[in-house]
Amino acid sequence: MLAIDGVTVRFGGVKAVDNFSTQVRDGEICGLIGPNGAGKTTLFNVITRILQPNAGTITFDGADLLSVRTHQVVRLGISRTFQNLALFPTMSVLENTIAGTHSRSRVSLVQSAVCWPPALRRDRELRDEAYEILRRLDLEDVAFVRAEGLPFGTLKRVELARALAAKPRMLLLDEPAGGLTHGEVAELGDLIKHIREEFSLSVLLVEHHMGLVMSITDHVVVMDNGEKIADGLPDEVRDNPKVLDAYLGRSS
Amino acid sequence: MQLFLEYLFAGISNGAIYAALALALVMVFRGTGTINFAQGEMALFTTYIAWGLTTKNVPVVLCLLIATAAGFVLGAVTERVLIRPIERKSLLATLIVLLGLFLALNSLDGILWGNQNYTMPSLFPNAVSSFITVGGARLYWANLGLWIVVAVLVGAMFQLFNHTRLGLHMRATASNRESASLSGIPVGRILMLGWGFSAAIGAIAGVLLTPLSPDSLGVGEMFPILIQASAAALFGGLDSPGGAVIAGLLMGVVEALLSGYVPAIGGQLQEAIAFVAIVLVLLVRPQGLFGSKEVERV
Amino acid sequence: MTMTSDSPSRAPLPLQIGQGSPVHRSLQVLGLAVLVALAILGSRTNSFQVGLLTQALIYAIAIAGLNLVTGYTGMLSIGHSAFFGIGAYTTGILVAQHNWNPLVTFIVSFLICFIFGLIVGLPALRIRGINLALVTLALAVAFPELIDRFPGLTGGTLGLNVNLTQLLPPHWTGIGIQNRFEYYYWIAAVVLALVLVLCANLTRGRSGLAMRATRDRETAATAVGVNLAWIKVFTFGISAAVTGVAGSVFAMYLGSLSADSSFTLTLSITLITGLVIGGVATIVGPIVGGLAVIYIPHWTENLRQGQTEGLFFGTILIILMFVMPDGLMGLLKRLSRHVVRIKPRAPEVAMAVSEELLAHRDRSADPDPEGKGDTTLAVS
Repeated sequence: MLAIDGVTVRFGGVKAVDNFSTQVRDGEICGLIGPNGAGKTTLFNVITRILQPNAGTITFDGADLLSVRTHQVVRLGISRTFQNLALFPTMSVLENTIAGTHSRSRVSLVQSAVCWPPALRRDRELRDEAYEILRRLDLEDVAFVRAEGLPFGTLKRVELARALAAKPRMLLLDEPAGGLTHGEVAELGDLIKHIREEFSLSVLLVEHHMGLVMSITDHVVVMDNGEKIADGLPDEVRDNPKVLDAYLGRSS
Repeated sequence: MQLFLEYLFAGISNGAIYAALALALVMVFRGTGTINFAQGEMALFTTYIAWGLTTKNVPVVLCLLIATAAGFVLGAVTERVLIRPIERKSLLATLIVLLGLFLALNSLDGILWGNQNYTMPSLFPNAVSSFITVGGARLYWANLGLWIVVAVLVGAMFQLFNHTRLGLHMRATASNRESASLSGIPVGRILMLGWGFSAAIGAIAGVLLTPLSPDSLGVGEMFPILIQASAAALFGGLDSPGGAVIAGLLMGVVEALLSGYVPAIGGQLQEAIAFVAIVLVLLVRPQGLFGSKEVERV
Repeated sequence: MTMTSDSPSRAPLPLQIGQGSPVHRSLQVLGLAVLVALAILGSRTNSFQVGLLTQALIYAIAIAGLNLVTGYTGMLSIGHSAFFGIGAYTTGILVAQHNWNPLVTFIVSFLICFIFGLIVGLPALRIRGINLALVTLALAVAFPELIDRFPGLTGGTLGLNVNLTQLLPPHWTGIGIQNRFEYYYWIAAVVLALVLVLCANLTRGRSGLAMRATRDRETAATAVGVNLAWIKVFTFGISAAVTGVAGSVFAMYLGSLSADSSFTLTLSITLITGLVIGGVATIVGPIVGGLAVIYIPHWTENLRQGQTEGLFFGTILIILMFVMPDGLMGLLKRLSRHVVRIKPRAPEVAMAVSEELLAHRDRSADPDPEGKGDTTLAVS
């Protein structure tokens, strides 16, 4: 589904990502892990079109991801969350989620301006759908509450709701476990698995938290120094000597 | 040649003032990430103070020092009282507060000192005959003095930035406030100092500029200069003190030569030219000539 | 015109009114009726008052335009005095030199200012808040200079005068020459009403959310698919166009234009002050703001001309940003919530699941088929 092939990103003379290739298959939860500075975030930024790679191709369901602009990525069916939460603070939880449907509507500014009836209808449909997503993520109670000031764990779920509102076929999660307690991480793991079933999508997870990655993913890719050093089932990867090396420090 | 030199001298004088104010703007920008719209009005306010003192027969040098000190206090207090509590909210709120300060200070000047213009006594010999001749062109002592003071001022600022502990702290605060704070730098005090220095520079610029021509101390004096200085700061790169100084000088000289040789665009179109310059720079090279590219943080 | 999406809080709730319920609807109608009544009342005052009110309405239109770009989309424009001026000169020139019907020129003003707005908004594509503010500041400063530079077209420093006979009310209005200010008053009122409807339409639904998303957090707005470039430039255009029409009404009302006195940076700051006083990102705020920026100086006039006004506005701007950043309408909204609260309407489950979403899910079992709908507003 998502195919990354030979992607290389250079910053000056430094190769942040070096000839990286992997695939995320339909419906799978894929974890991308690696020590600090391994190039995960760079790769993430390449997939979300914030960075342009120096070489390589990325296709999503056959569409060339590298030919679209940042705001068009979500239209292809890839939706993301942010490492340090990036909700719209002045909007209610419901409005945040409706904003998530932006890419699915063609209602134009001019249509809004003149109250074009089909446009109003479309707005209403998407509002109802957003509400339904909140219901499914148990966020109904806070639907009309301003996002600003809600507890961190709740906001993480709101962000997921916003990402889901785009009806993506793939969800990109940037360190979703960051800032959560142990118990919350376990809950999050369950939630991600549940979402994958409920909304039938695949998930690419960039994460530090080994426990979370090992417990929910079907497929793990390990990066170190910009290169891929392992790619396989969680159990295989866990026992891979290169991975142990990268995480525990190179002794030799 | 003589005409050229005279235009050039006038240009350098204006340019020196632009450079000083642009440097002041850059100092605030590096600390707080905003353009201080009230920079010119702060300078004007302190210049009025200096003028008020000269009418009481205080020596001009002393007036300059007092105005500089007053500027420093004004800047530091503004940062502490008006800016710091609001800047966390949003850039928009900060800009609106500064706009309010601009308007309030300007009107206060008018209320305190009236709408007439005054002549500011010069720090340097300022008679019609106090000039030296360079290549046939007259170079007045007031101009030369201004160049020297601004040069010393800029030099001192750079010395401060690059070779003192305080400067190091300022640079650290500018590049990343959080890490600066974590490494024990008193970020709040550094920001206050930055604003203080910046307003002090403005005060000096005002006291030096106004004597260059008679009757030029008035409520509308500083604003056009602020516009030019902003254009210069933008042109040099908002986060680059060196760029601001060079661009300020350049701007003064180009402007003087243009209005000298091409009368059609000179004089009353100056601000329009600055506007065009600003837009062009922003479109072609948003980070300015010497500035660093903004890195997108996700 | 009542805001719908306010968050309920935990305070003990007084009156609860369901959104879209008959009571809510009648309240809305009542509010509208009060506004119309006030407008009629305003037109019945003496001609001096009608003049002041007309100015307030004109400023309200201009502020409503500014509100789109600064209030909803979060880009500070200090250059709206220029758009106001462009609108005014468009009407002035077309009427004085080409004998156009003044009302028709409104459309031309709208279009011309829309284009100018797009052009000025272009730098917004590459630069962020602070630099955009600078561009607009420079625009405000440059505008009067440019007007003075083309005296053939604009009358230059001497100003542009429109012959009074071209600005008289048409016969069907039944308003005589001596009451012509009443005519301008109603034009301003009708234009304001149209503009407010336009703003209300634009700022709700998909486009409104896109604007607010852009204001709140650009990276996230991009991630949900908002084309920042388009939203910013378009908002700038439409905002300039609305403010330009305000300028047109102004030209009609005043009949003589001088850039150095009417369309300077001070006007921009006045508009921003009005916006902040009335309440950014609210629909009714601009009306309050327009009244405030006209009547406050009028009342303080005898203190000391000119300068006191500036000091007062400057200080008020600063104080408001600290104590009441959402302005009078924001305050009113907060206070009124203790008395009446509009309960947002949650969709019923059955209709909520749109077919699209159902089709997307191939699983047949829905774990929660029945509506918890009515218990869920959970304002507790």
